[in-house]
Amino acid sequence: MRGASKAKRIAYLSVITALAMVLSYLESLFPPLVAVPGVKVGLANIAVVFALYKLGFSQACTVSVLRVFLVSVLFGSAVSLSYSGAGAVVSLLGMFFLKRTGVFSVPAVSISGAVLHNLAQTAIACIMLDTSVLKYYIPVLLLTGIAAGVVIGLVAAVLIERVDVQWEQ
Amino acid sequence: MKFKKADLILVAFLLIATALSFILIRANSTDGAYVTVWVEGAPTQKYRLSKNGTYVLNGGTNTMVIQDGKVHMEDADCPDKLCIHMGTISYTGQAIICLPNKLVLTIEGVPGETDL
Repeated sequence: MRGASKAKRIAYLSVITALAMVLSYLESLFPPLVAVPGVKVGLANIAVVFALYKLGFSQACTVSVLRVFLVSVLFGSAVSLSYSGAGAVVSLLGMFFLKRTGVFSVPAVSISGAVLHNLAQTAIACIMLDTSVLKYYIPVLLLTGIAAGVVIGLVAAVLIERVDVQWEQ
Repeated sequence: MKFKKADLILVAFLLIATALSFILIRANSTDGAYVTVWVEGAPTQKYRLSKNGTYVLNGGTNTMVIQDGKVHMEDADCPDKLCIHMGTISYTGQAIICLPNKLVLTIEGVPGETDL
């Protein structure tokens, strides 16, 4: 896929974005595991982590931003767009910097993404609700972020190793 | 795929942060005296925990129950029903949050406190 044509790249990016959307939708069908707003497994992050490692940062941005926007428009609301948008942006930036240091493996990068996603989402919720009570959930959000990040990271690591596509790095 | 030393340090750091935040929050909480209802960030009403009762909140979007000094959300008109699943709260600092209706219940005060 190195040096692939522009059309091929667009097609590939579209498929991964579609996959991220399907994963988001699939996850919304399951009842919440923990009754705390913002706690999720974050299946769509598999696609984002995969894109980050295989296609590079800017492509991962495209996948993540499109996914959040389209899923919110289709299945969510303006409110969910602001929560998950903030989560997605902060999480992707964190993962990008951690990956660039070169000393972390995929699951660790994914953990940082999950934890940052949870914290950013909570911060936005605090601002929107104009309350600080959500701080009570920080331990839960950290712990579930670590757990979700490990699971997502292990799946993504297998895919990164086995799927034969490489645009950058 | 191999795990690296930095991975362990990151996870250890996050676990310590989790434990610390948990301890800090718990150390500052006691049994509460009343529950405050917040709508869009503004406190609207307060109810004593010592008095059992069922209350319809926010013009009918949520129903709260106070029983034996504990509070839980009985009903909500939102699709996710997360606030109902959040269970009962009774310590200061604990909260039940309904994001779709922008409604928050918080526990405050100390037992025996008479002013609301």
